[in-house]
Amino acid sequence: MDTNTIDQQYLQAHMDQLRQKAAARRSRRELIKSLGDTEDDWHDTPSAQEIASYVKHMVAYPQQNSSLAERYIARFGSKQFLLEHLESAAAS
Amino acid sequence: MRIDELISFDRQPVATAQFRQDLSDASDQESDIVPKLKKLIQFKRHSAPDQSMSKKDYILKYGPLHGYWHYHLIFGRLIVIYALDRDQIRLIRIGPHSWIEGGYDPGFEQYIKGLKPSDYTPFELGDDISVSDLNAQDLAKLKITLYGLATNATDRDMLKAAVKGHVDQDMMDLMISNLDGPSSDAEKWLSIQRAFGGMSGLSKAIATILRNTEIS
Repeated sequence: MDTNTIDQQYLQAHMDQLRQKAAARRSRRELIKSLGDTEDDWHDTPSAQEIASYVKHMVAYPQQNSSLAERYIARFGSKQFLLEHLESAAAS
Repeated sequence: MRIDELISFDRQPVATAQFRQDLSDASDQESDIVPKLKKLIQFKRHSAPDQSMSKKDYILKYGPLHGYWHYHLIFGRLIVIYALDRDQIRLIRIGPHSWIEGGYDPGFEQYIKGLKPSDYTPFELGDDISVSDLNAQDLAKLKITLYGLATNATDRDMLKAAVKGHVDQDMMDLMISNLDGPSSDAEKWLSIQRAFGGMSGLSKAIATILRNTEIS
């Protein structure tokens, strides 16, 4: 393969798209770390937005997994702080 | 050490006829359900009885379905209800999360509690549920990415470090972002290395690309 044979516009678009995806990966990783979890805990969840939504869901319906919801709330000091953090992570 | 840790489990997946129908209906609408289900089954075949695959997989601790498991195929929206014993993963239903929120649908509860061993039959989703080898298109995208990085001054330094064995997270993120699918990032990175014949092969490929390119 020779760079001369690669359409430069295509290459630029490809790299721009990859950088966006890589930035999304970083956001996801930072959110997981902030929750005190590991990548393995969320390996089946592709984005920070989905993780944030899922944790919000867990906090909204704690009946079946209250210990985990409580751990997340305790880590952030209050449910409000946790939800604000999740909103911020989902928006990044 | 717990007794579970000494026992090697090899559970066989079995499913109800209703589960098969649910899967058929759901996979018509959501394309990535089958790979997610395959990963769950693979994990549960050998897991300890109380071991979750991820945060989205947990045992119901209260209510009439206490002791059954549910896993979010699509968070908060679509779940699979299943049960585990020593020898089987019993796949029961796929359906909306509302089944287990607040009050239970009496018909749903009655259905689950009325199931008999003869209602389950062996269930197969294919054997190869690990990361498949990369296809030609994925490989081409990876090579184009390396060329793209090699022609950018900052990224070129990242590639030079990789040749010496120091692969930083940014480079891994960029490479992994070429691959779609439900595999974890770690699995995707391994898959990339395998495609180049291991880390040494990847380093050689990068060195070749660096030799044949210059900053644009």
